[in-house]
Amino acid sequence: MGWFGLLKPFTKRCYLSESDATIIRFAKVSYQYPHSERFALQNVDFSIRQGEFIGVIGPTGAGKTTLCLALNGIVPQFYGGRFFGHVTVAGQDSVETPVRNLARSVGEVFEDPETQLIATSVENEVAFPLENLGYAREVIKERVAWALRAVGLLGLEKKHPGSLSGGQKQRLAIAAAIAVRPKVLVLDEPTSQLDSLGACEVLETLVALNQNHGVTILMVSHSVERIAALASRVFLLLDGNLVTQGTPREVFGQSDLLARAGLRLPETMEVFRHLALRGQFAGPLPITVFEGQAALRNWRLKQSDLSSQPPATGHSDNSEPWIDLHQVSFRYPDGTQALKGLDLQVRQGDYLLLAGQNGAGKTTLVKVLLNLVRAQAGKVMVAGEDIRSVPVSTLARKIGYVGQNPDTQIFTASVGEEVAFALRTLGMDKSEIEQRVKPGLEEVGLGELIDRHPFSLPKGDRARVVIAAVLALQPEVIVFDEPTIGQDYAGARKILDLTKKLHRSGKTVIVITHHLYLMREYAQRMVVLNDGAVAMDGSLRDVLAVGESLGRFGLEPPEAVLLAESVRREGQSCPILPGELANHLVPPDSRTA
Amino acid sequence: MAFMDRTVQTSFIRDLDFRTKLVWMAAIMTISLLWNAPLLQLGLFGIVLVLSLVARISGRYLTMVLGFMAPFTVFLIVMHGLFNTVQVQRLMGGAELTWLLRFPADWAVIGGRGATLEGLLYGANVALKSVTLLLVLPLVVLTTDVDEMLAGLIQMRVPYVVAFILSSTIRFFPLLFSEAQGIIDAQRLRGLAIEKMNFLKRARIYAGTAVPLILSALMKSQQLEIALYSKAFSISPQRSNYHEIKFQPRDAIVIAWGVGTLAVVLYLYMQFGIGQFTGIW
Repeated sequence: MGWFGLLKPFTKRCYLSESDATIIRFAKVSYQYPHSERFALQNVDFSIRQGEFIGVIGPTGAGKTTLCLALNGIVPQFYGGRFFGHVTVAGQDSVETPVRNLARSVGEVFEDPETQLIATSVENEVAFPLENLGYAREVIKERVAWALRAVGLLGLEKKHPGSLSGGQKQRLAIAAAIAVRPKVLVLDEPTSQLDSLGACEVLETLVALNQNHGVTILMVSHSVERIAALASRVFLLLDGNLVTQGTPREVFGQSDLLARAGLRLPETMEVFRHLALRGQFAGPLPITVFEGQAALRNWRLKQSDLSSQPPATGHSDNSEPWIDLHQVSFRYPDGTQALKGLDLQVRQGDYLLLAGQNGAGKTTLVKVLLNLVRAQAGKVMVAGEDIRSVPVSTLARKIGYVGQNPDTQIFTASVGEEVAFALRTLGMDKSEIEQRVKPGLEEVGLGELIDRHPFSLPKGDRARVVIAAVLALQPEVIVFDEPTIGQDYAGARKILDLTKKLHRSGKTVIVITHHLYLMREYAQRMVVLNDGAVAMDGSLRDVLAVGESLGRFGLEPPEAVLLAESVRREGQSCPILPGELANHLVPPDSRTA
Repeated sequence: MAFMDRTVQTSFIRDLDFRTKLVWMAAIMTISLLWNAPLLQLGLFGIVLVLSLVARISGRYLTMVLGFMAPFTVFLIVMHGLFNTVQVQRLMGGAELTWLLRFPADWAVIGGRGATLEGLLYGANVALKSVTLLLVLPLVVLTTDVDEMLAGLIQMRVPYVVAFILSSTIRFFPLLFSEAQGIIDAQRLRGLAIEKMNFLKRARIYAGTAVPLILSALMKSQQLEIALYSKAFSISPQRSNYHEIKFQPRDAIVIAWGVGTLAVVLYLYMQFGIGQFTGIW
């Protein structure tokens, strides 16, 4: 069993530790942010018993983050606004008890670790809340070691949090929250920036806290598979309303409601829903991959050749590479060897998925490609030119970059100005710029928002502002760095649809992401980086087909692939999409080949 | 900005207590402000430069400070040489100044004026004083972990909230620089050819980062406040400390040495006028 097997026993144990004592009570809570016309929460009413593991799902803007902030009093104490109803946590009213006092009972981990790290070393970060609460030095030492071990950061005590990778920062934020051993742990998308291996380690920690220490956990996540595997109860929020709650089976059983919310089913369930629709499966649909694998015992896979079907590589392998990295190495001043003799060729018209665990070298590779850092060894050629002597600004006209966090790439006061900035650098005059800004924004669906301040838009739209601004330079290649982080399923699809449109218009697209399940209908080629070098390179289908072995690189194959792997014989093609798998599955009692 | 990061390499200065370094910083600053003799000022600057190297302050940082100050140094020397005759003459007890050149009387603004040797020397003293004061601060700030600084301030009975704000401010500057660099990088990735720009145009670009920088700083400070309260910040005055900082015997020796040096300098200055501006040294 691979690393993801760690999740297997969780589902069983989660239900064991619940007691009857109510620890969280939301009584008819409605909340409206200042200067907002709509209610972020509307008449939300629920109770949570001590030791429960609650999964919260919902589309962007459903009120999930507000719900989390109401649990430790930040809403409404910090933001103000109009608050109705009562929230009680561990016997304390979250409106009347100061936030700092609630911190003793409620640990909160926010989505973006950058915004919650305070200290200048890893150990001090974990010690900070314990110091504030007046714990003795010996207790702090013991708790710091325990929390860092729990999140896999032991040995990095003296490192500056700023020098950690995104995933490590996320784990550090969790360590600081759990060190207090709060009665309630609230986590808003805690694993969104982690690779699968890192996410699994963190989730294992959460389950251990839940099981061994009776910590009540409320976790918001867009990963329905993880919620299905871990939560004892699931809340579905939509437009500020708690529209349904129940066991994962009860909530995910309401597929129409989920579709209305723009959410997807856990992938195993989706496969079995296809089978049920064609009358090949009866009974409750399995919701976790392990239940699915058990249900598929004795099933077979139809013999067919999927390798010729899309997705397959779109470029001609004989064409000259447009980007050619040869034996590229890069070492950071602190001694970290990020790239080790990396070889990679990208051809015009490629749609390439670049994957790898945190610290594999993906970000450094992009920095080298953009000339933001210079490789100490090897050669980087772009369009036949050695980029060593090419300024960043000139290279930007060939390779566009859309970063993970759009906010760090926005620097003007209007959506139109963001696009105009790049046009100005091309030396265009005012009238020409005016003529080109609107069509540029319309291309990404933002034509109506030309005068809005970028920061007044939702994150998905802010990302599209950056895409429009980058496209203004008409680069041949566009690199998208983790474009789906922090996006709900519909938002992520919207951005990926845009990448597909660009690819169809002839652009070369490179997407860096951990979310492999999202990329199956988009990418043609997949490159896996590991330890600063290319570990795998091939068609998306061929790379995904290695299944569980991707765990070696900290990657999580889609559940359809794992299910296919459990029934696939050697030499058979691998279905990678739920519908495709359902089409190729043959029940045990069927005589058809 | 990596070169503004605290030095992690062990050195004699790095290992001293924060309070010891504060005493030395105060002593050097006092001496530098007291002295007007250019040769002594040059000696003090040399000592601070050597101490910076001993403390393993990043060479890039030192080069940046010296490079940044170079045009100001020239400006100060020239301006004092040309225009500061009254103050220089008063400091020298009304003695005659040594004229190096004189401009014709019919020239506008500078007509009848000229450059004096004493004025140039006094300008050199002011320039060296400025560079010394600029270098001595990082000698303390960049060789001390912010948390050690915080612990040191608390032990000096500075209220925790005040000490935290002070340490956060110090920590904020490298963050601000790195944020500004991020904005510039984002602009370069949108085709802005900053490398082809002259100093003035570059300065305009850097000034242009102010608005997004302030906006981002405001957002960050709000998020920081939420994070602080979520971590029980200032819940009670009975806060404990993870790190214990103790005065070592070497700290006592170094402090005594610093205070002693300052006392000797003050005595020599007041008793014999050593350090006062006399024209040559």
